[in-house]
Amino acid sequence: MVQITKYQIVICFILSTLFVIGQQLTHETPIYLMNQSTITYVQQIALLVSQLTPFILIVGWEERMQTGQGLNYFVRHKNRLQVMIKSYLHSTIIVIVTTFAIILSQIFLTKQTGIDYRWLGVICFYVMWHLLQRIVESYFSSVSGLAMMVGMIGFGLFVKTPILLPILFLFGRFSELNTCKTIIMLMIITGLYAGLGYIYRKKQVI
Amino acid sequence: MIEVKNITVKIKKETILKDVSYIFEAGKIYGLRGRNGAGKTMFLRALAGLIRVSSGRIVVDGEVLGENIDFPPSLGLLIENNNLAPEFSLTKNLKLLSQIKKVATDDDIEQTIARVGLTTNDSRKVAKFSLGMKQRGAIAQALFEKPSLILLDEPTNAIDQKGVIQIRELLAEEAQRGATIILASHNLEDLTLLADKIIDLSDGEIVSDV
Ligand SMILES: Nc1ncnc2c1ncn2[C@@H]1O[C@H](COP(=O)(O)OP(=O)(O)OP(=O)(O)O)[C@@H](O)[C@H]1O
Ligand SMILES: [Mg+2]
Repeated sequence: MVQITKYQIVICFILSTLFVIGQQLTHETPIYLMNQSTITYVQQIALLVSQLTPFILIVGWEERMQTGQGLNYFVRHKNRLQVMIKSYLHSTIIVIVTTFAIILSQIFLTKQTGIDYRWLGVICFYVMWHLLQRIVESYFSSVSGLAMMVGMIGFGLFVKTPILLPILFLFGRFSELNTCKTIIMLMIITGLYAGLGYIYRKKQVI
Repeated sequence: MIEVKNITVKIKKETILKDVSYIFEAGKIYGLRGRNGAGKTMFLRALAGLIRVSSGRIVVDGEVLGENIDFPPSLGLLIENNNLAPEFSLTKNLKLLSQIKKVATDDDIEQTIARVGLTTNDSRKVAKFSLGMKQRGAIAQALFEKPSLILLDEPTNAIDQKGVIQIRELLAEEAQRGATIILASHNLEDLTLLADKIIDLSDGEIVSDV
């Protein structure tokens, strides 16, 4: 329905393409796949902005769900699970579209012949992150979800103590992504979807 | 037919509805009356499946809410605010909603907009509507799919006198068509002129029905 508008997709594309072009002009390796301990603060900020883009779009969309057609939209479905699947698939699509825009422009600009498989990990990471945030949000409040989103980004970018390494993997060490980690992420995504579905069904007030 | 069987709704230990039972029949108009905070809106939310009951059952045409269905299958709903997307025209709003169930045609949409007293080819965004126009739009939203259960929370709020008469006629027609209509209102005239039964709620309990 109204959730993803044409404009949102266009904004996604433009922002991510701009990001890639800007980054590509100065570096050869895609910023997501660089070793994070060697990137500069300017690059980190670029990364921060690009990571925020899809999420800002999703937040805007969620707002509309809740303040706009929320109730009218919900009750036209058969059950809550159907609403959940529909709405979260939509936002997952935004995440994937944005990442794809980055990948495509990256390929175009570097005239690569193949896709770096680590991009798959980047997509999984985004989706996972998004779902985690949604769970917190449905369970507690939308403010906590937003805080978590912003907190995670700052945390992942600026904290680099060894104890936090396993968590940092979740928060953006894309340079270390491999097939095994991607599969694990896919499994986590499935689990998170199941969790969201459960929360949605059990929630008393919607 | 909607059977409400001993429903209790508790939110965080606070009891909002206490052991409410009632049978709503098709083709009738029911009025909910009660002071602010009596539980009228919560009762409508429970009937719409937007809030889970803590105990008891709501059975809509033989199907238990919250078991194999979460929302009444044929429902028109207007609760408190107008709930239309402000950045689209009313026609666009209804068209988008109609895509979910696919039971209403473009003709149904146009006809309903005319029936609530708005102009059908108005391309203005809902955000630019006056309060009463938004309310009429929201009523159109609740009616355009010809639902068999219509829940309206203070439907005549902000609507001018002529419009109120128009809306009352409209609701009477809907009941004639066979819809069950339940409306909460502080407008005594609405209730006495329209309702076949008036249900009095107080502190989450039905205290009388006449
Ligand atoms: N989201 C909520 N969470 C917890 N309690 C709520 C919530 N919304 C309403 N209540 C409580 O439920 C009770 C019934 O409220 P309700 O909105 O149903 O009243 P009402 O009869 O519709 O009143 P009004 O005439 O003002 O519209 C009130 O005590 C109110 O404080
Ligand atoms: Mg109310």
